[in-house]
Amino acid sequence: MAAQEVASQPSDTLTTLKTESETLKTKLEEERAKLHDVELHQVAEKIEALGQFVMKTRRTLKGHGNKVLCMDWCKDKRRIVSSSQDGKVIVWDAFTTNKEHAVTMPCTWVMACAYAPSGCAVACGGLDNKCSVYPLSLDKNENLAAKKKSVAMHTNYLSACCFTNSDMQILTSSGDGTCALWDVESGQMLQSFHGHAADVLCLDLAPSETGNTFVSGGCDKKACVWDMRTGQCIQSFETHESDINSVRYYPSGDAFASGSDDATCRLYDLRADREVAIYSKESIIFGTSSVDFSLSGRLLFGGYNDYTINVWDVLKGTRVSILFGHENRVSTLRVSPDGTAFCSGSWDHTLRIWA
Amino acid sequence: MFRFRRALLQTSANSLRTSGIMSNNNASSSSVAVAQKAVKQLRLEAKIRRINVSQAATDLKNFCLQNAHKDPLLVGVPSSDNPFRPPKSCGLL
Repeated sequence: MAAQEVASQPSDTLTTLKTESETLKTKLEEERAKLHDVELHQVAEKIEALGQFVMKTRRTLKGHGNKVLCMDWCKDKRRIVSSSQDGKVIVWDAFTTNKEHAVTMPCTWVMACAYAPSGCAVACGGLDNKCSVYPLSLDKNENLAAKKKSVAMHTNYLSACCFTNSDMQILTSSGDGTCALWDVESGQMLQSFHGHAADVLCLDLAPSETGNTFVSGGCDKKACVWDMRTGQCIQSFETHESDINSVRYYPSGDAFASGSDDATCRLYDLRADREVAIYSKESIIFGTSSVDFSLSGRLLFGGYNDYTINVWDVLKGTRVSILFGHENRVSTLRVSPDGTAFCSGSWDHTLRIWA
Repeated sequence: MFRFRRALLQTSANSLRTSGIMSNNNASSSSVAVAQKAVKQLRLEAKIRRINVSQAATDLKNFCLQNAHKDPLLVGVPSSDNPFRPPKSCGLL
């Protein structure tokens, strides 16, 4: 009797819950729409249009034997770490183009790499489902692989990793649909973040002034903002029409941009809790793999699968420049810490520094 | 890469389906748990305080304008100040 009651209840509850879910979603949209009194580009109408941009490849970093999948800048504004499909992770001096360190990972498709804030270590991972930290030795002959420390363990590929404000903690995202915060020294998971319904492909930490949050984007077309201390998803945005490959905070921390396989980049304002701009053109039909802002947030750089980099006026919503040079998909793009240049990595095995 | 991700997702989804033989009760109560979580999350998100787009947009615009002069990629800096210009000399002409 009790068992029969339990058997009949779940389906009623499920239907009720699903209806309530739909009602709440509609209410959420209505609340957001009430505050949608103007478009960003309208607010920006009176600002002077940007002039012509002359941005060229200033350095080409050659040395990877296969597709470059990820890169990150060191805080010293000159060193770069990059990782590739062939399992190699290389640390470069971007001024001289010299390779300073090279590590061969035990797996292929190293999809994520990050430089530690101190500049003394790099983290990377991919198909091995882990994130490992390699301390960088001043001794060029030392075998870096010997000092490797396995920090994060996921149940599917590692898609992105990033140190928090110190060398002590790492944030990771994975094909297993979760993100997690780890203590580097002990390898312990400090917090996990559940909420995506499919692979999480990217993440970005909020600028330190804005506190302990980060944003993630995934194959479920959702971008989620998380509270790092509680593991709670604070806000979520679902306007993209395909996988979100890249997310990046606006320099003030009040907004973030996303790049997707739907060939658009979008800007979401966190205080208005909605999408406030779409950067797209009918002629752009290939997905965006990576996005980043210039220092003032006025320019948004997007690396695309059609081998180009499009530069957008964030406020006016127009494209101001298109950069050619790579001979295959642009897979990764980051502006340098002082904003003097940006680096792009590509499936054509090279990285380019643009300024 | 896109196709590769899909293949990985498919394998993990398949392994989830075959690895657990759940009774009907368990299956429906876990769907209920998932739905309850979703409703709880939506309630939380509905409650947050929001500002007008006009105010948010104005703040974004002001931030850009106030920091424009410090943005090397936007305003350009003299070649002597940008470590990446002039290009490294090599016979590429």
